[in-house]
Amino acid sequence: MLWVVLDTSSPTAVVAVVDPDVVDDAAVFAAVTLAETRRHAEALPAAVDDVLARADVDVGALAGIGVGTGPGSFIGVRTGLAYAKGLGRAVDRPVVGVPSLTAWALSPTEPVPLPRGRGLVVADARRGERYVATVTHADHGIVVHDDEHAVADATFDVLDSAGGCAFVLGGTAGLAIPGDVVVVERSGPSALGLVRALRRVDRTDARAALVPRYVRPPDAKLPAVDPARHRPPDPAEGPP
Amino acid sequence: MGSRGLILAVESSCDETAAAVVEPGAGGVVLSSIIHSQVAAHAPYGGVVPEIASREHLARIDAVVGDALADAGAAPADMGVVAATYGPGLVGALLVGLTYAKGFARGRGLPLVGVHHIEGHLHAALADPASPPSRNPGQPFIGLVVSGGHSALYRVDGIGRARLLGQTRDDAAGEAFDKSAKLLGLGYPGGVVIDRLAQRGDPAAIPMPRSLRDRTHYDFSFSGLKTAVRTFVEEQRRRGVDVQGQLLADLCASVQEAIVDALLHKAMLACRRQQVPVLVLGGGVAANSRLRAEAARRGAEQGVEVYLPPRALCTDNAVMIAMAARAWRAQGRSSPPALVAAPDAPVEASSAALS
Repeated sequence: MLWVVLDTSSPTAVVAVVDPDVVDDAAVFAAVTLAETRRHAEALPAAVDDVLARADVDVGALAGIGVGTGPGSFIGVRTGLAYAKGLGRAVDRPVVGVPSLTAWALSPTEPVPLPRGRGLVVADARRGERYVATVTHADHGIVVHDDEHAVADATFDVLDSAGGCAFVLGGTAGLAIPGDVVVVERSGPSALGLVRALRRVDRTDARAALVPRYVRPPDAKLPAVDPARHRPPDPAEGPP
Repeated sequence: MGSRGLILAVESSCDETAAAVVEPGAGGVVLSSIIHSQVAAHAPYGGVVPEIASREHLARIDAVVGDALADAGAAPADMGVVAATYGPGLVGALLVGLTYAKGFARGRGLPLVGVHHIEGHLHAALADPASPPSRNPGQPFIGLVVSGGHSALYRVDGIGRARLLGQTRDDAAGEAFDKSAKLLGLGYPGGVVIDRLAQRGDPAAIPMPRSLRDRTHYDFSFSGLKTAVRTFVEEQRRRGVDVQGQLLADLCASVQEAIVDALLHKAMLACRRQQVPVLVLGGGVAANSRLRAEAARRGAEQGVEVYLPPRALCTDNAVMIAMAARAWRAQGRSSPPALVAAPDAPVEASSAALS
């Protein structure tokens, strides 16, 4: 059964038609990556058209929609989720949230073989911070430990945080990483990473529980924006 | 051939998540209208916080659309058009509704119509169930859109052909109500409270400034009102008088009268100058009872047909977006899937959102 999977939470977005029930080599029918970092919302509809056409599948024949829930750019996370929810409502199919950093971690790393042991998945959270997930590469595959992820200072100590670290995967620019730690630079999940992550979540209708992983609270410091005028309140206006 | 060709519209430009289903025939029949207000989510911050608005829209949009479909007794397969506000508004908030609409449209292979928020307000009066389609305003008409964020006069020659004639140079009319109410300790939103208190007040009791009365332009100015209210309250305090009871009612009536008079003075001037004897109101302040009554009275007196949206369609809603989309579809227009949210979109450029 074919699914559309998409993740627009990261700098490199991905849209694909996949079959989560078949082996890895045959799971991805068509995939598009969107490298432009700030234009995902604009490019997403054409990318969906493209993968559906190349996989030769009608949107009404889809079994479901899998969507990356972040963490990542707030707007990027919402773009994917809003599109997926609208599509799912229209075709009456389940929309399933996929943790984005899990999909990053499960994306193939060839040609770099991933060593066994503890590792980190890191993604840019802007404002001098990073989203971090800790994982273990075990004999039976990759285990993602903190599903909810965390925010860390951008220059956090890699070795301290992982309790021993064999590899770092993701947006690693600016991190001080010891020479014996394997580094896999990555700016988003691959289509195969999304399929693998999709296999790990309940694929029955989970629309109500489709929750974005913002990780950080909204900026809600005063002064706020005036309801419709979109400008700060008049500071000259005091109490009577 | 299952589709009933209905219009599904969503609106998410500020702090209301709204969806509606409209039957496009017979002048547009409203089958459902759901509005989820975020007021409670923003209240602790004293105003709309953009990131909270965006998160709330995403959390609510699918349920709001689901409710709109259920209320209309319609399935997704009954839709023929999907419409969404593309601007102006908060960019992150707009993005949620617009992108949801794109996904829905793709799922059913439907045309997408990106609607300008102001053109939505200008079309709200067309959705009056009490008014038969034959009573709909002809074109051109003069549009007066008044809310907490807008106070502007337009000449409208059709969808995509609205031209700004004049607007407020400082506060919007709704802001003038809200700020006056705040000065009087009446809470938020102030327009509703002032409207109620003014019912038993004398609108001529307390002189209030009428700015920009000259007939050389169609602009408004309301910032002098809050100063006048503050000065009046301070003056009474000095004399040991509390502004309450009848005095408060008189003050509310006087402030309201000044706002209503300024708006209608320029609106009627525009109708005369443009030789367009049709006036259409829209926006949250169009729910004000004095503005509604006075617009009707002056219209009758000056030979101007006046159209008022039902009160429920004055504040932000998706019915008005559906009505504007209906007008675009009558011209066979639709928007490209790459349409982007435009936080500052001018109304004159609304047709650029469609091809």
